Amino acid sequence: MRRLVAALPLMWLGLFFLVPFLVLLRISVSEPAIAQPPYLPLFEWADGLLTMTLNLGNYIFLAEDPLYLFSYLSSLKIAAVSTLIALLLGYPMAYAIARAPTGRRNLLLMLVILPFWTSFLLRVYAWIGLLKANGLVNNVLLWLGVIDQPLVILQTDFAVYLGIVYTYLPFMILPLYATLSKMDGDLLEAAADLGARPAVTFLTVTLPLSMPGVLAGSMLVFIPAVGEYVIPALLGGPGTLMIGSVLWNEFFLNRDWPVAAAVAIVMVLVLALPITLLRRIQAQEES
Amino acid sequence: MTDPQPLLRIDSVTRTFGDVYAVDDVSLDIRQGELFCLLGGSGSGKSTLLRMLSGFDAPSRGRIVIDGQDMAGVPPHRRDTNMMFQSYALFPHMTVERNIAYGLRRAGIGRAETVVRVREMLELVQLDKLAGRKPDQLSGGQRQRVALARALARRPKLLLLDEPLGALDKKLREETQLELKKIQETLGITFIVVTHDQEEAMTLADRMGVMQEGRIVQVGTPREIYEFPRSRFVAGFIGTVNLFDGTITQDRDTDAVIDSPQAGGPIRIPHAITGTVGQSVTVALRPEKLVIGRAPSEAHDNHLSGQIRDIVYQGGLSVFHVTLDTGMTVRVTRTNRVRDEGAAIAAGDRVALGFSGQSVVVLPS
Amino acid sequence: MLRAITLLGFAFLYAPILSLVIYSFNESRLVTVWSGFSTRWYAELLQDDQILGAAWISIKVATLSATLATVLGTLAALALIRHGRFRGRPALGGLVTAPLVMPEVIIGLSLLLLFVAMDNLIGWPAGRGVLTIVIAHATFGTAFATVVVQARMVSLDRALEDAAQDLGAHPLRVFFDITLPGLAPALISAWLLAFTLSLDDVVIASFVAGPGASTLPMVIFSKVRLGVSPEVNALATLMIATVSILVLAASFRSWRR
Repeated sequence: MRRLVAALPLMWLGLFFLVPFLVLLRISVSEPAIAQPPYLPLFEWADGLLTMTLNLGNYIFLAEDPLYLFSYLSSLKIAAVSTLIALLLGYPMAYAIARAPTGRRNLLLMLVILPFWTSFLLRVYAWIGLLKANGLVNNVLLWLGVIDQPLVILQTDFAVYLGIVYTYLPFMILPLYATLSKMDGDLLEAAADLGARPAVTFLTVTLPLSMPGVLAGSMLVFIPAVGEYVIPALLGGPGTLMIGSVLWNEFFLNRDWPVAAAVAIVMVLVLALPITLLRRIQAQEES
Repeated sequence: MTDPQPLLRIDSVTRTFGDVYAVDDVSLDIRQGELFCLLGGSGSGKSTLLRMLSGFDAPSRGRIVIDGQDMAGVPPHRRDTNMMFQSYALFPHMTVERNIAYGLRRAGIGRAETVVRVREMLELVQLDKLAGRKPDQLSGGQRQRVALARALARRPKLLLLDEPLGALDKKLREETQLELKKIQETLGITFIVVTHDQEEAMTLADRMGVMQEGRIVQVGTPREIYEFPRSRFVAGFIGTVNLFDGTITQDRDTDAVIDSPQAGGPIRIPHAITGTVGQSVTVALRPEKLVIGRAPSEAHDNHLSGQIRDIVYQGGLSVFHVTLDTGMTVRVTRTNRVRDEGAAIAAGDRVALGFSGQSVVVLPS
Repeated sequence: MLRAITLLGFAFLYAPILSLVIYSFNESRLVTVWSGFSTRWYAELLQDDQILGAAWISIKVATLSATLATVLGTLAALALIRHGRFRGRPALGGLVTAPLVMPEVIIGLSLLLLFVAMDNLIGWPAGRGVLTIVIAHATFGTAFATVVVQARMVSLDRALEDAAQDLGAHPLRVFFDITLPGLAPALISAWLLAFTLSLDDVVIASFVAGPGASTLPMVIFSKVRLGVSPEVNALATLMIATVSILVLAASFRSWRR
């Protein structure tokens, strides 16, 4: 009984999360082929021996074509900029929520979480209507006289930043709120009592103590943003390079599964560092 | 200790966690109907011992025998013991009534009888009117009583209480101590109470055991433990004590002398002591056994002199910190029997302290 | 200043949602030009067999995968919180948190490759469709469900279970009498979260769905890639209304307590 409790989820996640990675790794070093599925068999029986051919060609291909390098770098840049914007917007919001009276605090928290429960896809889609040339944003700006010609916002990197910040803002606010609300109010009063001005108190007490929340929130935005596909697909333009889209196109359009697998493996390696960082913060928070 | 059939026999029980001896070779017999207190600081092993009695933990070595039955391998739900938890552990989704009925239903007692017995319990703890409430609608004192009633409802052979009054404030705690003792005497159920509060142990216990680092260092009645501690640890843990280091210089059948440089001379004891001449010992003297005065009194066979450093007025009594001429500071307490104004002894005054050699306890150093 | 940023932030979060709702009642197909109140897009939505079919598949997939995820997540949380140290603990701990941070494209691609390889090797799962989507969604749903149930389990007073056992309840009975009622709110949240995530996923489903089965998000995605569609606005409004009512009802209940 006791064993089954742990064994069941362990087996499920092992089979459907861990093993797929091994398959992914294996296919990333196999030869593409025009076949169904489009790669050469993973194993072969030859002379009564099970043999496996490893082919690093896919990785060499990735290294040689600058498109891939640019896509990785561009993904990192887009994710980093979006994370920074989300932090600058999310921190004051989390701070205001943490300082609000109890009743209102719960309401505000619910308002942060509520969009998360409504379809992500539809919320990103909503921005198309807002950002189009004859969309709401342009109409309002024209009406106000700020501009005299519609701005091109949709299908730019700016729209992608907007979409990422918009989608992942709750992920930034919640861990920030968690650390800020845990903070002992006496600490702030103690700092004030010892002669610190509010701004100094913020810089010397609040901010350092909320660093775990800042890091956790940032990683929770940054990591999925790097691999994002839907947002650049809907809001980005032809010039928007993101590795998630590259992988998608290799798989669905070029039907080059081995290269798609190699792209995925490299993405995992790129994300290993931020993921390790996030796990370390979370482990520290638990203890 | 020589009871042929104690209700509970703890026989050389040891519990280790890795290299740590949480409970270290404890042996203890507890008689039917006794209220026994296990007293110790945090980490002394008292709670681990309690968890082994209730079955939530098992000894690494040794045996626990309840009413003649070896408890090895018997899970908590098959033991004839019940526990009152420190946090009370009242089921938040059940009413007071259902909380108390829970154990009875599990024991296979029918609905009709359960109702009767729950009533009895509610009356016993005077909560008849709150039967339909949920735990979060009760005060701390009321929750404590529900927890007690729930644990008693099955009429266990042995009731284990883990810091039963720890969550109550001081005044309520004192009232409840007496109430708890009355209930125990009425029902005749054997209680084992774990506590870190020495006053609570002194008030409740028929007998108590003092635990230190996994061992029981002394067992006895509260009076025995207070008046005749067997070690410096016990003397210091129960109440406060002044300790003088010294050497035995004379040990005869009728009297003994211990020379203590800290006391500034010999301490005379009018009876024989265990020890040999030349052995280093510690003399323990409770603060209330010292009598403070302006000049030495003939009534005492031992005298010290010094200067008052400060006086702490506590209402019923005053505590004097007196620095002896040897440099050591002792505590002296005095009941404020008369309201003295003006003429009182003040800080800085020179005073004489007297005590009877009968009142000291000689401990191995 | 703090107030202004906070208000701006909430406006930023809610303006797009509001615009979806408003324009779902717009007469004109040109979503951005207001030409009068109308419910015609709702009527068209209810006659769109493609969307209705996909919605039905999505609800089936979400229900099944959320249920599986809640069961697996509860077991995982139970093992992680209550079993102390056991041999598979580090592995389980890592496996339940990894899907939380793994980009969807990678989860989708790797699972698809597994399904294809398994199909070739042992003939199961034969082809792709509802079954493979359910498996994929249950997998990442389990990770989220574990987190939710774990959080609740940690705050559950262990002494309650000890007390029940001390009062004579068999461990299995303790689980049903004490543990499960204590976990109930978390189980509901976990199920709803897994359900929502499944209903929301387009990337993973696109990889593992195969040609036969299209989920609602897949259909929506293919529609909106071509541009704005008032029918989708109507659908969004219905979904937002459902979620809002559920969330409001839930928070109203917790307020009354």
